[in-house]
Amino acid sequence: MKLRVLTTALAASLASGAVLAADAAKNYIPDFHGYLRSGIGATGGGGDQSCFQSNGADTKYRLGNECETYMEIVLGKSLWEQNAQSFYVDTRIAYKSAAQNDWSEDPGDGSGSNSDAISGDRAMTAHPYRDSVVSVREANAQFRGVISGQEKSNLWAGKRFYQRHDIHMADFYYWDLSGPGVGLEYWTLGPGDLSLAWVRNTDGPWVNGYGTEFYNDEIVRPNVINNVLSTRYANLTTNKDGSLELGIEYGTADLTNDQDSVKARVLASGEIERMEPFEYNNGWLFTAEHTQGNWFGGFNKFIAQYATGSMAATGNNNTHSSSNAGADFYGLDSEGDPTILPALDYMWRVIDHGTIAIGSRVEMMYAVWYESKKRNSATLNSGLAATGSGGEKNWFSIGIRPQYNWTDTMNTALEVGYDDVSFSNNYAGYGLSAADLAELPVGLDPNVLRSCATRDDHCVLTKVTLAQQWQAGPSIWARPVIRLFVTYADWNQGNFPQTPGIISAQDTSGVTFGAQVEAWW
Amino acid sequence: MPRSLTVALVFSLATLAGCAGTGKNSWFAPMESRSPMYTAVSPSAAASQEILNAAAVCCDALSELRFAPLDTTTTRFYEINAASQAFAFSTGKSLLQAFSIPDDLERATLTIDAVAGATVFVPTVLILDRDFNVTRAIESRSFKYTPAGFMEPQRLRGRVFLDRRQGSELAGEKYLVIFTTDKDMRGSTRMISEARLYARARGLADPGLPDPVARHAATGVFRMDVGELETAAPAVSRAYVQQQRGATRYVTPAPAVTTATPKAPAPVAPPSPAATRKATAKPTAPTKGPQPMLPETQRMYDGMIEESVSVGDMDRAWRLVQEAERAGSTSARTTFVTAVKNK
Repeated sequence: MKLRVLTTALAASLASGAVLAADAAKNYIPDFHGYLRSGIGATGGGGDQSCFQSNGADTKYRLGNECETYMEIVLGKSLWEQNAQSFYVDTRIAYKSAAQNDWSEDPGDGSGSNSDAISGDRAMTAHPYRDSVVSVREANAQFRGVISGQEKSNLWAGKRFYQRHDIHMADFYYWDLSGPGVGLEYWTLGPGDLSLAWVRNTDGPWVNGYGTEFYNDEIVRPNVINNVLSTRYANLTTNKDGSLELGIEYGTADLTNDQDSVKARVLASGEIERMEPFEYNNGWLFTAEHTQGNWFGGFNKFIAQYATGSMAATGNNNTHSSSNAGADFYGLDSEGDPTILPALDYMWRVIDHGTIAIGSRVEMMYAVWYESKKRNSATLNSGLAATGSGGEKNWFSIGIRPQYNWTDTMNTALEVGYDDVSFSNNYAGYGLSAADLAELPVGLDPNVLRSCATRDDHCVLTKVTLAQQWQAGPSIWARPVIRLFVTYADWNQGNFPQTPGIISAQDTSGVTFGAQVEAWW
Repeated sequence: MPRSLTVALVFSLATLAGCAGTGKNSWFAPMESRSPMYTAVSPSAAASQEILNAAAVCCDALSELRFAPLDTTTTRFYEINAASQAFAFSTGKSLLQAFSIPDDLERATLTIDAVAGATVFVPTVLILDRDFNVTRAIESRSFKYTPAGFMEPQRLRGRVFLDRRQGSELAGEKYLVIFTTDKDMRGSTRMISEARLYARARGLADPGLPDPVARHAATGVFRMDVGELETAAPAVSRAYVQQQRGATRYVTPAPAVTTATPKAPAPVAPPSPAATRKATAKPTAPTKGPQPMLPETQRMYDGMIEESVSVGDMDRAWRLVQEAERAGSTSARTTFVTAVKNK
C-alpha cells in the first residue's frame, strides 16, 4: 500500500511537473511587435532610386520616397502581475541599411549609416557591402499601476521611446524626447494625467569645434551631456471626444568640473591658447496639442510649439537638448568675453494633421505646418561669424494622402506633398565666396550649382506619388502593405533634393518607380 | 507651378473643412463599417433590429430548422441577414445560422470569428444531438474581443470543441445553431483603434483618441474555421462540463412539458444533465432513470476518478465519469469537478 501511494505521488509529481514546464514555456513567449520597410526602386534616366527632400526641410513625404531598408524588432513581456500591477520589460533593436546588396554588413563604426544619407558626399563614398547599422533603441522596465488604483500610472527607467508624437505620412516626429531616462507617467492628478521624466542625450566632440584635442592635451572629456527635464499634462477633456496635452521641457548642458574650469590649452607649438570651450547652454520647449476624435471617421491634431536656445537647436525633433549643437558659434557675452552661444535663438511651429474618411471607400491622411527658426546674432570674433547672422528659416509644408479602396485588400493611394523653405540673412551660413565659385568645374553655370539656401532664396519641392497597394485590410492604418509606386518630383534650381549623383545637378525634376513593403505589428 | 499647387491643396483642404461645417456628419462614417469587407456588418444596431423585427419566426421546434451541411474543407464567412431563419429562443427571438455536422468529422475545433465594425453580431452556439436535444451551449461571454492585425479584422473570437468519437459522451452531437440573445443585443464592445495599434508598434505616445465601440446587433457576419482538436484535455473536459450545465435554458420547452411536469415523479436525487435532456426531449414518457447504484460501487468509481485526476489522466477520468453515470452514479460528475478544481 505504501508503495502504491509512493508510486501515485511520483506519477502525480511527474505529471504536474510536465504541466508546469508546458505552462512555463507558454508563459515566457514574449509579446512580439515590430516595424519594417524595404523594397527596390529605380530612377528614370538610370541608377538606384533617388529620394526627394528639399534643402532646409527636416522631413520628406514618404510614400514612394524611401530609399532604405529599416526594421525594428520589439520583444516585451509582462514578467509579474498582481492586483492590477505589473512589471513589463521592453526592448527594441533597430536595423537600417541602404540595401544595395544581399550582404549588408554593419561595419561597426557607424559609417554604415552613411549610405542612405540623402545628401552630402557620404552617400557616394559608402561601401556597398557595408551599408548597415544596428542600434539598441529601447531597453526598459515599466512598473505599471505603480500608484494604487491607477492602472495607467507607470514608473519606468531605461532607454525608451518616450511619448513620441509623429505625422506618419511625413515621418515627422515633432515631439520626441527619446533616449535613456527615468520617469513617472500618466499619474492622474486633477482633471488630467501628469508625466515627469529626465532624459539624456549627449553631444559629440565636434560641438566646440576642437574635436578630441581637449582630451588629448588636457584629459578633459570632449563630449557634453545634455539633460532634458520634461513635464507633460495630458488627457484634459476640452470638448466631446477632444482632449488637450500641455508640455514644458527644459534642456541644459551638464558640464564636468574640468569642462567647466578649462580656460586654456597648450598648443603643439608650446603656446598657450586661452578660451572657454564649454558652456551651460540651455533652452525651453513649450508644447500644446489638441486631439479631436470622431473627426469625420478619423481624427485631427492641432499642435503649437515654441522653443528657445538649445531646445530649438538641432533638427526638428527636440530629441536633444543640444546645448552645444554642431552649428553653435563663438560670440561675445554681455561683458565682452568670448563665449559659445547656441546656434538658434528660437523656433516656433504650428501643425495640423489627421485622417478622415470620405464616403465608404476613401480614407485620407493630411498634414500642414509652418515652422520658423531664427539664429542667434552676436558680436563675433572668429571665422565662424556667418553662423551668428541672426538669419531666419521659414518652412511651410502641406500634404495629403488619399486612398481609394477597390476591395478590402487592394487600393490606390496618391500622395501629394509640397515644401517651401525660405532662407534669409544668411541663415545657412556657408555662402560660397568668389574664390569658391571660381573653382567650380568649367562649363557649369555657377548659379546652377549654387544652393538656394546659400542664395537666401526659397527652396521649393513638390512631390507626387501614385501607388497601387495590396494591404491587409481597408483601413489606412492596416499593415502590411505591398505597394508599386511611381513618384514625380519637381524642385527649383539650386535645391538639390535628390540622393546625390543619381539625377544630374542641373535637372529640376525627376521620376522614380519601384516597389516597397511596409509593415508593423 | 508650386504656387498654384499650394493654392489647390489649401483649397481642397478648405473644401473638406467646409463639408465638415455643414454638419452632415452622417455622410461620413468609420471606415470599418463602410468598406466592402464589412458590408455584412450593419452600420447601425437600430437598422439591424428592424430586420429582426420584420423577420417571421420560421418554426416552433429546433428540429424544423433548415440545417446546412458544415463546410469542413475551407474557412468561410457566413452572414446573418434578412434572409436568415428566425427562431424564438427563450432568450428572445433571433436570426440564426444552422449547420449539420458531417458524420466523418470526429474531433475538431471550430474557430468562430464574429467580425466587428460599427456593430457586431455576438454569437451564442447551441449544439444538438441527432434528436435535436440541446447537449451543450457555448455562451456569448466565451467570445472574446480580439484586435485587428495581419489581415484579421476586429472581431469576437470563440472556439467550439467537438469530440464525436465512438464511445465519447459527445458522440451523438450532430447540429450547430448560432444565434444571439436579447440581453447580448443590448450591449456593446469597446475595441482598440488601428491608430492605437500603430502607436504600440512604433513606440509612440498613445494617440489619445476614443476607442471605437461596436454596438451589438441582430445581424452581422462571422467566419468559421474547422481545425484540429487541440489536446489540452483538462481544459476541454472542463469546458464540456461547464457547457452542458443548463444548456437547455436557451430553448423554451414545448407546451406539453408544462402540462406533463406535475405528473412527473419528484426526483429523488438531482437529475444528471443526461436525464434532464431526456425529460425535455420526451416529456410524455415516464422519467425512467437508471437503477440506483450500489453505494460501494459508487464510491469505487469516485475513488478511481479522483485518482485519475490526481495523476493528470483526464481522458481516463472523464471516461470513468461517463461509465459511472451510465451505471447510475449520481456523484461521479460532482466528484470529477471537485477533483479538477482542487488539483
